[in-house]
Amino acid sequence: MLFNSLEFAAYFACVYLLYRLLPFRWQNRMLLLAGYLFYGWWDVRFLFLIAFSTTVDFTIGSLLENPHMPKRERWTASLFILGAAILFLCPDWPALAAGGGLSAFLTPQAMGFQVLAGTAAVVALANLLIVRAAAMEEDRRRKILIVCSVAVNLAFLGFFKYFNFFIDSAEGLTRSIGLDPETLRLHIVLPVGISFYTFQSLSYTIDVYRRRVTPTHRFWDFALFVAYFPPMVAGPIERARHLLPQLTRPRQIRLAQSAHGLVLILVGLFKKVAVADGLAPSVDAVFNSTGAVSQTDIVIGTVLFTIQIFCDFSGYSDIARGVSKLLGIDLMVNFNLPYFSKNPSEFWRRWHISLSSWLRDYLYIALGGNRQGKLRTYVNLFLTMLLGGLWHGAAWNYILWGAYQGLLLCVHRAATHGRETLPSSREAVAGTTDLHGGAVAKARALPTWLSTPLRIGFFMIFVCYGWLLFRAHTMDQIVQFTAQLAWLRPSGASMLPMPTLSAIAGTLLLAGMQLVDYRAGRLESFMRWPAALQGALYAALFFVLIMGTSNAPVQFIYFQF
Amino acid sequence: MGAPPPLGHARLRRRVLAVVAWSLAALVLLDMAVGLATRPPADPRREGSALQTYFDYGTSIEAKLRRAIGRTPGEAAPIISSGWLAKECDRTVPDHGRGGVSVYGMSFSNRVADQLAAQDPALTVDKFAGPGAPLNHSYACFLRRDAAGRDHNPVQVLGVLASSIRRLTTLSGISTSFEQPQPFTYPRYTAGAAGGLTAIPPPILSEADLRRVLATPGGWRDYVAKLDEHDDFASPWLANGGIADWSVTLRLIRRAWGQHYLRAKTDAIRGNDDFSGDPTVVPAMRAIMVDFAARVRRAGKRPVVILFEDRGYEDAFRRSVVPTLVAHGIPYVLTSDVVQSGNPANFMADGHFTPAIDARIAAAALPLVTAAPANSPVRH
Repeated sequence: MLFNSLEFAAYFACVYLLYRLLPFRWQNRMLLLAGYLFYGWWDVRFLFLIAFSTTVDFTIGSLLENPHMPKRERWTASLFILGAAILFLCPDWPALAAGGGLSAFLTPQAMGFQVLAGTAAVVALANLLIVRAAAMEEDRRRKILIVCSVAVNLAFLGFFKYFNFFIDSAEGLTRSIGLDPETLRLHIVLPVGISFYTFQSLSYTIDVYRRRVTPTHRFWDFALFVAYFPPMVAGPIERARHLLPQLTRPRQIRLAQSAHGLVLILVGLFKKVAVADGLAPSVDAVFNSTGAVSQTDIVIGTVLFTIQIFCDFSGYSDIARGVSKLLGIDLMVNFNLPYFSKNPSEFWRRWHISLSSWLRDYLYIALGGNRQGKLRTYVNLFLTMLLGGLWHGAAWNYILWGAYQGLLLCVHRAATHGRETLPSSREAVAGTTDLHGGAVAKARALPTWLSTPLRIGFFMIFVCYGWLLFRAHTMDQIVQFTAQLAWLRPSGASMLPMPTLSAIAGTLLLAGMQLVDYRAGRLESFMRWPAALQGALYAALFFVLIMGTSNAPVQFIYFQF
Repeated sequence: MGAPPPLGHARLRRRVLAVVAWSLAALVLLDMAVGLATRPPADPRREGSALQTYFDYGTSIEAKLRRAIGRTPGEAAPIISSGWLAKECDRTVPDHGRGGVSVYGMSFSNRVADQLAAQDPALTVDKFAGPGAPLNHSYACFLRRDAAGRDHNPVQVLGVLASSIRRLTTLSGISTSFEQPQPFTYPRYTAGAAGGLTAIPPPILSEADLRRVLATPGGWRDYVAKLDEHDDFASPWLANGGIADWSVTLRLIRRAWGQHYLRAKTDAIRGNDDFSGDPTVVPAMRAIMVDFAARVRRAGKRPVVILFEDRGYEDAFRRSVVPTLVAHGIPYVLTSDVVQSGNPANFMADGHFTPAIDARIAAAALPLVTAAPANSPVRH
C-alpha cells in the first residue's frame, strides 16, 4: 500500500475514524491490527518475520531487566508467535490474493506447517532456556541475551536480503567446489522495508542492554512499537526511548499538531508525486539505457536523480511524520536540508538522520568510535559507512557507495583534524540538529555570504557522484559513466527526455522553500508566515501536486531496502 | 522544530481557518489565472503552445472535438480529417507496375516507406495510414482496397506497431488518445476458434458522421454509449463534456484519472510483455496477419510484415506473432532484430525512431520487398 495511493487514503480514513472513536487501549490494539494490515498488503507471509522479531526482542528485553520473566508475558509471547505461524504461513494467502476463493485459501501449505513445527520447537526450547538462564550470573546472561537478539535479527536480515548476493558473489568459489550457484540461490522476494523494522526492533534490545531504556512489560505495546505503520517500511527508524513512551500513554490530538501533520502530508505528496515521479522517466532513460549515453546526459541524469531520491525519500518521511501527527504521535525528523551541507560530516547530520544516528550509536561507538586512536577512528568511520552502504542493498554499487562515503568522511576528518563527528543520537531523536552545522572550520579567506554557497556547491559535486554510484545498475556502468565524466570515453548524442512540467515547476518551488528554510534556520519556516502568504503557498503546492498526479506512479525507492 | 509558534486554542483555530480560506481563495485565483493564460487558440487550425496543450490535456474529448471541428470542414483542425478509412483507403493511385509497393500502417511505417523509396529508386511506394493506426485499421484499409480492386502493386506491406496493439480492442482513435483525440474509426476484429475473423463495425464512418453527431442534441452521448458497448477503452467520464471542462484543476484531475485508467487497461492487455493479458488480442493479431498474407498471395502478390517494437516493447512480438509468421512462411522484419528499443538513443523526442534507424529498418525490409518470385516464403 503506497502512501500516494487511493487505497492508502481509504485505509487511513478508516484508521483515523476508528482512532477518534476508540478509548486509549483500544486505539493501540486497532493501530497494531492496522500496522499488520498495512504491511500484509504486500505479502501476508512476511508478517511472520515481524511477529518473530517482535517476540524475540520483547522476550530478550524483558529478560535483560528481569531473569524471571512473568508467566503471563511468556505465555503471551509464545502464543503470539505460534498464532502468527498458523495464521500467516499455513493458509495459501497468495491464492486468496489471486482470487482463488476460500477453498484454495484454506489449502494447507507444507512450508507453513514446517515453519510452525520449527517455531513450536524454538518456543519450547526458549521457555526451557529462560528458566535455566535465570540461574546464570547477570553479566553473562545479559551478554548472551544481547548476542541472541543481534544474531536473530541480523540472521533474518542476512538471509532474506543478502543470501543471494553472497551466493552470486561467491559464484566462482561455489563452481570450483562443484556446486551450481543456481541451485543454492533462493527464489524469494525481499520483504519490503525489512532493514527498517529490523533496525528499529534491534535498537530496543541494545538500548535495554545499555540500560538506556526501561523495557516495556506490555507485549502488545512492544508489538505496536515494531508494527506502527507510518514509519514501518521506509523509516524514520525510530528509537524506543522516543516512540515507545508515546505509544504507552494516552495521547491528545491537538489542533496545532494536526495542522502541522496535514502540511507535512501535502509537502510529502508534492515531493513524491509531482517531483520525484516526474523526474523518474528522465533518470531511467539514462541509467536504464541499453546503449551509449552522452556525457551531458550522465551529468543531467545524475543531478536529476539527486533531486529525485531526496524528494522520494524525504517525501515518504514527511508523509509518515504527517500521518503520525494526525494520530497525536511525533516521529523524528529524518531530513534536515541535506543539500545545503558543506562537507560530508554535515551531510550525514542532515541526510537520513535516523539511520546515520543509528549507525553512530550502535555500530561506530560499538567499534570503539574515536576512543582508540587516530588510525582506529578512521577505520571505524570507514567500516561504519561501508556497512551503512551494505544496509541499503545487496549489491556492489551500494558497498562502493558506502566506501565512498566512508572515504569522504575520513578525508574530511583528516582535513579538519577530527573536529567533526557523526550526529549525536540526542540531536537526531529530538530533531534539533543545528541547521548551520557543528564545529565547521570556517574558511577565513572569503566572507561567509560568498564562501558558504561556494562550499555548498563544491561539496554538491561529491554528493552527486555518490548518487551516481548509488543509482548505477552494474559496476560496468559505474566504470563507463565515470570514464565518460572524466573525458576518457567518447560521448554520444543527447537523448534525455524532458522531465514533466510538474517536476520542473515542483523543483523550482521546492528549491525556493528549502532556501527560505535554510535562511530562516528552521524547517517548515513557512508555517510562521502570514495566513495569506501561507495560503498562496499551499495552493501552489496543491496545484503542482495535482499536475503531478498524471505522472506514472513509481514505488518509493527506499521500499527495496 | 518547524512547529508554528504557540497560540491559544481559539486564536489557533482562527488562524487555521484563515489559512484554509486563503488556500482555497488562492487556488481559485491560480486556477482562473492559468486557465486564462493558457486558453487554446480560437482557430482550430492553429496549434497551441506547449503550455496551452498541457493544460488542455484533461479537457473532455467532446469539448476538444467541438473546438477542433470548426464550423466547416475547411476550418477544422487537421487531426479531424486524418485516418478515416473512406478517405484514406478509397483513393485511387496510378499503376506503378513491378516497382509498386503498398504500405499499410501508421507514421512508423510511413517513415520506413520513405526510406525504402530513397534506398531503391526503382520502387514507388503508396502509403495508407492513420495516426498511430492499429492493425485492425490497416487490415480494414487493405480489405477495402482489395475488395474494390484498387490496388495493383505487386508488394503489399503491413506495418504493425507494438504500442498500438491495445487499439485492437477499440473502435476509434479517441478511446486511447483522450489527451489529443484522433476521431477516426475502424472495425474491431475477433478471431473465432477456427481462425476466422468477425468484424464489429464502428458507429460512425466519416468526418461528416462526426460532424452530424456533434451537431445533433444528445448525439455525442449516444455515440459514446454505442462505442462503450464494444470498445474496451471507451470511457464516458473522459469523453463527455461537463462542468469539469471549466476548471484547470478539475481538468488536471481528469487527466490523471485518464492516465491511470489507460495505463491499467494497457497493462492488462500487455500481460507478460507478449499481449497475453487479453485472450482475444493475440488470436486476432495472428488471424489478421495470416488472412492478409493469404489474400495477397491469392492475388499473386508478395506480402511483407514489418513489426515495429517501439519504446518499451522490446521483443513483445517475438513470442506473440513471430512463430505464426514463420509457420505460414510470411516474410517479416522484426525491428528488435535491427535495433534495441530499450536504447533511448534510437528514438526521437516524439517517440519515433531516428531517421538513421528508419534507414536500417528499411534496409532490412528491402530484400523482402524486392525479392522474387513473389510467393516465396522468406524469413529475415
